[in-house]
Amino acid sequence: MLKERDPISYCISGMAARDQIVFKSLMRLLAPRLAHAWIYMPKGELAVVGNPPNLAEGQSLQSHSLTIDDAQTSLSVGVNSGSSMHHLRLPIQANVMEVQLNAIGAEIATVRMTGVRQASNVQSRQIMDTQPQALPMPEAMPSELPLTAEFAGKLSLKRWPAQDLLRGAGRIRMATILLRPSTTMKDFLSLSGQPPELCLEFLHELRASEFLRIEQQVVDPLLAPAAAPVALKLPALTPASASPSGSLLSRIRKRLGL
Amino acid sequence: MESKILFSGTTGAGKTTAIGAVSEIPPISTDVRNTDAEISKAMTTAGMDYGELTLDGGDKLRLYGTPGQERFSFMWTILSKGALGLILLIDNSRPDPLADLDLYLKGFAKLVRDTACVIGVGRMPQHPSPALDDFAQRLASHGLMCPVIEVDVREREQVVQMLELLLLQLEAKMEMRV
Repeated sequence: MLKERDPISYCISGMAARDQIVFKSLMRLLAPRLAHAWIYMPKGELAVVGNPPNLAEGQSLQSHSLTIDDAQTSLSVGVNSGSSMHHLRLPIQANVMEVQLNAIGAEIATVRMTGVRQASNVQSRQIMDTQPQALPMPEAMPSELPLTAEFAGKLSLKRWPAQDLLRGAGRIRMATILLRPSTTMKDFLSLSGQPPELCLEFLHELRASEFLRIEQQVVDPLLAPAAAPVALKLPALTPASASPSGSLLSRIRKRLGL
Repeated sequence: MESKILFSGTTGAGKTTAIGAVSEIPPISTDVRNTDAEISKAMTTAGMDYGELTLDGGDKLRLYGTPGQERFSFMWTILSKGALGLILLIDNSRPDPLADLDLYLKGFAKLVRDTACVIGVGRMPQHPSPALDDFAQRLASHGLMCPVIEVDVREREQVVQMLELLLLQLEAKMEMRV
């Protein structure tokens, strides 16, 4: 694993010159707060890409594609996320950008450690591919799956996290929620009581430190249109008052002022 | 309908104080003069502590503190019956807190396995070792995983936090059974 503040390179492509300046300026402003030292390079481990692409002067579509190909992963910046795994919506919010960069940095650190190239790289290539269907999408290992708010798999802890990971608002509570044998992202986000950005940041840190078990949603392709996702086969989170026991727990909560 | 939550742990870990922090009645304790030279307090709980909370509808949530000494472990089994879960308090100033953890995990094995448990470690500012991670690893060696937090049981909100972590686990178990 990378030591804290180890350098990670990033490049920018498909972004107007003015937007590039804004992005780099934000990088510099955030630098003291980030978990890694981000360094701008012509070809970087992270490709920051405009979405839709707005090629800078002198940049061809081909060079744009190559830049993304060479990167470990990509971060799309724009009004829509396209097929990129990571996305920053405009206008950029510094706190969201900080969370995203820390999560991406943790992923790159994991890849450096394991030597496993992220499936997201294939995704990022497809952003610019004029015939995306020609590239078969390899199945991602659970540890490589993109952890976004829309993640459809199941989450749980492998073991109780190290204390370093539990310092921060609501993190002990979030870890306790993940003690459930299989928690959906939707349930995790709703139960945590924390902003989604903080939840996802915590999950990325847990994954980077190998405390998080991730199970991919399995859908039978023959039944795909009608099949319910695996996560939905589990008992859905019901209001605590739905059963006598649940009612008891909700009354205890109320009595304790929770 | 009556329900109960147990507070257990070593003598002096603060079971009586923790119950008193959240109980709506002054905790009823069966304290006696301490004659154990190894324990630096004048009174100790020889039987049990008792506190309660009245819930909506008039039901009672009973909070029981078990006696800390192993020689009273027969009461641990009795008190465990029907309990919703266990809050285990560890005094980190004791000679071997990890061994204390082992003892109580063994004594409450069924309760911990069947319900929920939170480990609260006290006196850590003065006694930082073993660290919370050490307790988590020891739990893992027992095949268990539950929240391990530093706690000052004199602070009501910290006792409430332990109870909330217990409830979160219980709610998950309830959902699994639906």
